[in-house]
Amino acid sequence: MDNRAVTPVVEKTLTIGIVALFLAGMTTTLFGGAVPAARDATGSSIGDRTLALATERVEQAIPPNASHVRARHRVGLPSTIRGTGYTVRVDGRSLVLDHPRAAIGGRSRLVLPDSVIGVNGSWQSGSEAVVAVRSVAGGLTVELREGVA
Amino acid sequence: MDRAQLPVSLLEAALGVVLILAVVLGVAVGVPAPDTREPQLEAYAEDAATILANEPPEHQNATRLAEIVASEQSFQRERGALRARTDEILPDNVMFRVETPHGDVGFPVPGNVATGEATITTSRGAVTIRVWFV
Amino acid sequence: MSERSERVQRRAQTGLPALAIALLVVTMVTGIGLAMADGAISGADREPGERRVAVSLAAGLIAPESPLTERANVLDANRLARFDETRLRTAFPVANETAVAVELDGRSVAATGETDRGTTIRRLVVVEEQTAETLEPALGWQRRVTLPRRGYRANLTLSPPPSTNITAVRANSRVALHDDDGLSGQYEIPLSRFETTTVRFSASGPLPPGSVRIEYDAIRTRKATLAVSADG
Repeated sequence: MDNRAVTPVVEKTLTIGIVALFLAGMTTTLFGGAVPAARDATGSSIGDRTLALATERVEQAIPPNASHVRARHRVGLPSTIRGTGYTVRVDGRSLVLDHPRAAIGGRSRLVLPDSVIGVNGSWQSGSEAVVAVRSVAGGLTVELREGVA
Repeated sequence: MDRAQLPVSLLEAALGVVLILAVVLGVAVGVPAPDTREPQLEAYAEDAATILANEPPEHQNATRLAEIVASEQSFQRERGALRARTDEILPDNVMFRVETPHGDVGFPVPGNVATGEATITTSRGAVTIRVWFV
Repeated sequence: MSERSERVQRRAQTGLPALAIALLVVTMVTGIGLAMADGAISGADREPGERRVAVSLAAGLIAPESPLTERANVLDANRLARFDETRLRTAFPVANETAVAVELDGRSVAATGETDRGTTIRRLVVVEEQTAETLEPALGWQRRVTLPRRGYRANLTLSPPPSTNITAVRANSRVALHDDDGLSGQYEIPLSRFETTTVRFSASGPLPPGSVRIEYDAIRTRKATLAVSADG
């Protein structure tokens, strides 16, 4: 009769112990794998959107039928992605998003008219991002600049 | 044992399930889908504006948009043609409203729908065209 | 006392299994929750990159600087016919990095890959075709002829009989050519692309058929929809 059951004290202790183990195990599993993976997926998605937005803004900054242009447009980019800052830089005629985490980043090619002869500059997240378009001899140049528009 | 006893753990578990599901549903339902319809509407409005302002209709001699809004009389005379032409330019699943300094042609803009718009500046004032999916 | 311990014993017996079931249920629900969150994240990602490519390429194709257009939103029929994948890749290098497809009114113009599950954007355009037309009109007593279609410019070949001097040529209400000593030979006059032009001749004598020959590129336009898809 006594050996089928356990005393309440032992039972409660066992309960506490089992629940504590369960919580520890669950926390480890989640924060060890599932949560960082989800954060990476979200961060990567936001990174893609940020890069697409930046590319769009640069392309839209170029006026049609440009003769003498001196224009500046501010671009609103998020200050961090997944908690850390990032860089948007130019590589040839493409924009590249650089982020410390490997899962976040990307590259997109700009669609520009032939009148644009040069694109350069870069943006650091956290500061004011500006696109400056200028007429020079031979065409237009686009510069990614930081500072007040 | 006459009194029925509900093991407290099961009650706690039921509460826990409800809580977790509430949080998860908040995440799953609360993420807004990016609106892919607006850029298309903006494009339609921009294209309609460009074609109305710069291109003549195929089968008649055109009264250019600038001439239509030049005066109250020319607008009243041409408003039917303007409406017909805009209707022809835009696809069938799109409705429009053209707002000129002398009046509006088209359909009333419904509330709560995504719209795209474009403005043409003429020497006699601005003409705005608004479009939305039907 | 023994009754109480009996009750206690029974409670103790049902305690732990219930706890086990409860923990199992919580684990399962957490698992379901994670799966739903995963689904929500992947469902929300609408490939902003490919949407940007489609929108930018479409804008580039109908811009005034595009190899396909005469003016903004006006595609030239000849250049459209000669456009193909190679020209697309050359003029718009973004097509090399992302699969894109360009269609006009449902018919494929150029493509660099499969875009069935990509994003599509549509732009409204006008397709303009120029056909060479020649008129050798019999000018009535009003000495005028209305060109049936619009055009950008016309080539006039004037060969009046020796007794006649053509002193002026008017296009609609403007004087296009004027010479009191008499016009003869080949001239080019501008036409209006917005309305059909009526050409009037002022001459000092009769103008039999054959005195005037008008050659122009007649403009024909039709509306169309350009669809640009990108998948990547």
